Amino acid sequence: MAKLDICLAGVGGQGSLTASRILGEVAALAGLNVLVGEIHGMAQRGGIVESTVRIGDGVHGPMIRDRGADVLLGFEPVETVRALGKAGAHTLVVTNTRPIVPFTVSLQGEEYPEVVDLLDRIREVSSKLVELDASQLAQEAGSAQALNTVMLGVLAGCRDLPFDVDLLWQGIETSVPQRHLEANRKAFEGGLQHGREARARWGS
Amino acid sequence: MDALLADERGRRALLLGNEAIVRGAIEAGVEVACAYPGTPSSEIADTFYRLSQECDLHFEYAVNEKVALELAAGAAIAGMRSMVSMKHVGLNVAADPLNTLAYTGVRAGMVVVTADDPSMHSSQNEQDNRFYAKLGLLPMLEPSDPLEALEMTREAFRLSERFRTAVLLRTTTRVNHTRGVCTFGPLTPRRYQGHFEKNPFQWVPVPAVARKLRPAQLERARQIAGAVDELPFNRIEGGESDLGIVASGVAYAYVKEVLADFDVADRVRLVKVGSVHPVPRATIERLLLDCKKVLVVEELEPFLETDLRAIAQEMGRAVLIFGKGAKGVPRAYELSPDRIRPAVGRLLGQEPEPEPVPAFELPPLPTRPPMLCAGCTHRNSYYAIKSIAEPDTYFASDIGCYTLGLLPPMSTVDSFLCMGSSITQAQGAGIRNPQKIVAFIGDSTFFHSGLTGLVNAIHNGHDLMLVILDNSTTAMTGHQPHPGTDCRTPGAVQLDLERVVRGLGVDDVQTVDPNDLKAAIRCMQDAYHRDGVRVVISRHPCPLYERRRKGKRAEPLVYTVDHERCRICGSHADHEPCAVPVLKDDHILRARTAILAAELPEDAVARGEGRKMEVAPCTLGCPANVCVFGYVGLARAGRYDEALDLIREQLPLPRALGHVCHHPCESACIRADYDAPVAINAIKRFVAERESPEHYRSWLAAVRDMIHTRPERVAVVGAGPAGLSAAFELRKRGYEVSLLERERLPGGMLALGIPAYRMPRKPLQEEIEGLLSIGIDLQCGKSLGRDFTLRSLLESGFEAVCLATGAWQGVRMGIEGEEAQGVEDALGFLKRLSVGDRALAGRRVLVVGGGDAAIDAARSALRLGAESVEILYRRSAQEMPASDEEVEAAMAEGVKISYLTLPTRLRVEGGRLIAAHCVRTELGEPDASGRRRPVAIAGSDFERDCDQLISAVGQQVEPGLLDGDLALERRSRGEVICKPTTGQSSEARVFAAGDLATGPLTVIHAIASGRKAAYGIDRFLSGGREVAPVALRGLDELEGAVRYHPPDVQTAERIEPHRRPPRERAVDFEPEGEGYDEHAALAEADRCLSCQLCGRCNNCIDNFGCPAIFKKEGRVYIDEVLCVGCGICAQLCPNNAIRPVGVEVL
Repeated sequence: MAKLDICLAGVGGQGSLTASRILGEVAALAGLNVLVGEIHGMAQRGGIVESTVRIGDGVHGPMIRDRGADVLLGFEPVETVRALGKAGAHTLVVTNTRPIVPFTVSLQGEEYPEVVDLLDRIREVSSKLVELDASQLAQEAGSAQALNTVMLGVLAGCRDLPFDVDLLWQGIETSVPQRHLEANRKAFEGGLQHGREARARWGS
Repeated sequence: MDALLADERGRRALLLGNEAIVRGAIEAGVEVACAYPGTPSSEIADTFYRLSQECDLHFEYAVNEKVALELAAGAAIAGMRSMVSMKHVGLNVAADPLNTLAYTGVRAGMVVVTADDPSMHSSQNEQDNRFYAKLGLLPMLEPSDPLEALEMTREAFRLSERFRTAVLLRTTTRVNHTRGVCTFGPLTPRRYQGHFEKNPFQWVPVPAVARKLRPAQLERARQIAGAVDELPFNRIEGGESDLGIVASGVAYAYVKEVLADFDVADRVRLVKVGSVHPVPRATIERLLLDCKKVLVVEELEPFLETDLRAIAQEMGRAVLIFGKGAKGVPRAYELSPDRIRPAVGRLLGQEPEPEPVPAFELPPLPTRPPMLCAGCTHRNSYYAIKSIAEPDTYFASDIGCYTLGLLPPMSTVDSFLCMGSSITQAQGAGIRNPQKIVAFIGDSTFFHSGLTGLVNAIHNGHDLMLVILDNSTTAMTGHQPHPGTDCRTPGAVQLDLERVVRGLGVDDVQTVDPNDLKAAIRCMQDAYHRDGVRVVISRHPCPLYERRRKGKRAEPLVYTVDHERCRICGSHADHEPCAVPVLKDDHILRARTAILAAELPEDAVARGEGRKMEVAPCTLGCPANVCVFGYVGLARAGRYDEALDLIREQLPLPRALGHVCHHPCESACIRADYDAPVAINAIKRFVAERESPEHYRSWLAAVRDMIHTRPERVAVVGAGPAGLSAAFELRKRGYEVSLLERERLPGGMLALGIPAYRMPRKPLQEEIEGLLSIGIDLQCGKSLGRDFTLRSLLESGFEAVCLATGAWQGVRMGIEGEEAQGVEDALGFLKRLSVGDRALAGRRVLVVGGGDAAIDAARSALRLGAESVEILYRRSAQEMPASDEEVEAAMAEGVKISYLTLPTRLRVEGGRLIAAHCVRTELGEPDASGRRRPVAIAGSDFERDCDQLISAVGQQVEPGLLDGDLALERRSRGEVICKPTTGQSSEARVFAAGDLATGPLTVIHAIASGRKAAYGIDRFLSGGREVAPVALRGLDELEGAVRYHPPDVQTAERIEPHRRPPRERAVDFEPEGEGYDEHAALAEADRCLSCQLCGRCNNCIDNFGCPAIFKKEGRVYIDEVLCVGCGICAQLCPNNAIRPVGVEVL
């Protein structure tokens, strides 16, 4: 199969590492060659968290080339833009639009850009942008922690993946606690629908 | 059962590199595993720990890496397979046993994992630990991905047992923290048949033995060098070519990908080196024979490259070898396919590729550094020490979560080198150095490497303050236990840290809970100022760990910010704290801390006032809560117009008040405790009088521009200070305001009561006209009861009425002769003067009373040419309500004051006053007002000749006001009863302000009262819409409050504003003096101690910096998801504005 490079960017606590692990597990389950690159240590302290999921036969290391990502999953708008170096014109960018304003804004007077401006920046790089308030969707589904499930749903909705959507859901199912299963199912379906609508708009 | 223990050969699983290492060890039959956690190796330890709960595998978290390695060596020497894992710098700690173990060798397999961290994702250096292999002549394997990590670990045990030596497994972060698909091999059973076989010639490396072991070590190394070429991890790939690449570790993976990019995989010979020490010499020799040009791709140092060059030299081969350097691969930081691509291109003889043009420019993004978590107890310890330490204090810190205290606002990490270095660096730096030094170390780090340093401090008599930041876990690496924590392993013992410290010989040890901020501050403060070795154990469990352990929040509470209290010093525009440029950075922090830590009277604590806190006392002293602290600070910085803007946020008539205010702010001034209060009002007058007409116009224009006009109409009755203030505030809030005034001109007491020498009329009318120009409809000559009634106003379309008609009726003395010609009421007299009637009935004038009106009347009479003016006051000087300043001025001008004197009747002849009959009084019991009642002394009668008497014994609401109008609830003296916070009367749509509501008070009181009524009306008419609050705080808050006295205050004399000499000024109604010039104003403003806090302090953000607290559109909020409910921010809030959700704070 063709190589699929997915770059995930977010903030500690948003569950982006779990999302990358689920993608990796599912790819492995589908019998594919896969590597998941993570960096631990500072994640729970509100820092930036970037991870990679690389699927395909030519994959040997965890690093995605500059402008080389096929998909950029951004869990927070500023972090999506910060990771844009991995994206190019061909890259599908899915971004959550809900900001997590870093403390440096309150404390050191740094500025948090307008989200619309951030989205414009992304569009300068790639027109294949799906933006949504995924945090809102997760909350409506019943759990703010289901944000990563929403993001995976959108991803599965707006492009083909080298494995079935059902298999992805199974991967999610086995990794979330029983009591959050219903919320995650709703979150996944909500994301999936949003992704499919975006795909329908592109007409591909 | 855990999947990693599964006996399923061929099973495929996605494993983290670290998990793969553990699986490999399990497959090799490891029996004893131990570790000290450290990124990126921690998951090895944590996975072993998890598995040890499910099977007979022995795992333990060791105290440090040296202990761990020695323990593993002991096991291996006793015949048990062992693994020890650590981060790269950990091997420095364990290097001592390692390099002698390299002589003695082992009996069972032993693998040492060193996890290097190129790019320093979470480390203090990126040292290349391959050199340890060379140092100890030990074999070292390095995997390129998780699958290889599993297989290599298994092979490492085999090598170890074959050559009876410890084997190093070196990983890097990108292997440790990458998940890949691994295939399981068969399991080797654990035997646990440990027994130490005595053999002093192997296990006792005294010099004689070591000298024998040394040649054996060399021979072993030679044999290993001959064997590694057979390992499957060392191989040649690719087709025949005279171009070669040598790569190891994760760099090998990058090379594979880049070669595929160039589509030259079969045109380059690629040697994959799995044993980085000793290198597979035969394989490399083959490459060097085939190739003319060889690129070495490895992370960090030119390690393989150097070996390659040596081999080529020995072979006599003139091969072009390149690796590190400008034309090769970078030496610093981890590699990536993008970073090695140019070097590979160069090997292929390709022209350098142009730098790719960035598709876009990254916009400025806010940084997101890792930080101490919300609720982190370390932050509290740091806050405590920072608020009491001298600014130049050297904070020697150490390695752990608390190293994040490096960042502002804490900035309490000035140095560290390695685990435990805080304690010892502090000792060295303190030698003959008077600087204050505080060392910080975490609990786990203290057990790791702090004990010996502390012993050194005691033994060598160092002066050391050590704070052990005890959060009862190893938080940084993922909450592993340590000797001071509650134990997970049966049979393990929890050590009491305080007993350990005492056991080392420290007598001065205190344990404090940093979440009790007050106790922590006091404890730190005391320890800070003691000498010798003293240890503070600041202990509170890591809230994240607690939550994880208990599976829920440690505290059920979440805190929130009460914005009315947070914004309490006024409704300033949402900008930076007003006086920032003239304050020291940590001023608020220190002031707040001094108050928090101060001893309070027990009864105050019992009343729940233990945390009672005030904004600057001058601001509380001002009835209108004008931000004195702020405007004096701005004046001091020469920012006069900004100072005036700030004043006007609460006080629309600063020019008038600059002349007449009785400045209760000055009575509250902390400076009075040193020498004399700051002459605040004179500073206000200076900034108001120097204002240019342009600035006043632009300020008014700005106010006008901000008005969002509303449909509702409001009538304000009475254009005195209260009415003007209410009308102005109402108009600002968007209402259509009609201001109805009975007299011919606005100003009330300012224009018709206070004499012109105190309140010059021209600037007053200009200032009032300015206020009216924002769109207030002033109608003069409209009298309540004659031209309109409350009822008629409410019926003619006004939604609400603010009644501010004042208290213009003089109280009668109630004595015989009061009706005579020559007897006059003070208010009538002053009003008469104000409108130009300057006739004086007599030459010898008596004034009866002791308030400001009495003084005004007396001084005015003097100015009208009276021969003598005498004030008769029935109490003593102490009880006299007139301001001291006025009394002094009057006396200087020649007014005589007779205290304890009471006129009892007036002698009248021919209808004219000729004398007053008086008695002397003495003071008896206190009356209802709390002042001592004057009692006539029998037989003390005397007579005072006079031809004019002005009665100034009090004023009250005019009788007859509201006759036949709405029946508002009133007090006996006529004041309208209304709600203290809104001014609303018993009639919902009628509000009262000024003297009519409060009884006769001062101008500044009236202005405050007018604003409050405007807020009340706004709220009443808002229909639930949020309206800007006017939350006025009173002087009562100063009672019993702790007054912060800044240290090191230089005495400086108060500069009295200029006044003309008494003789000169007492003859006319021109202003008494010119006030300050700039020089005097600056000098006086400089006397302000900035002693207290600005209500817009930002303390919780600027000085505490919990990430759960953030600011949005100028308001402080608490993120309820991040908040762990510790409540520390509530403890340090100067305004008591932070409280638990659902809990009302009084």
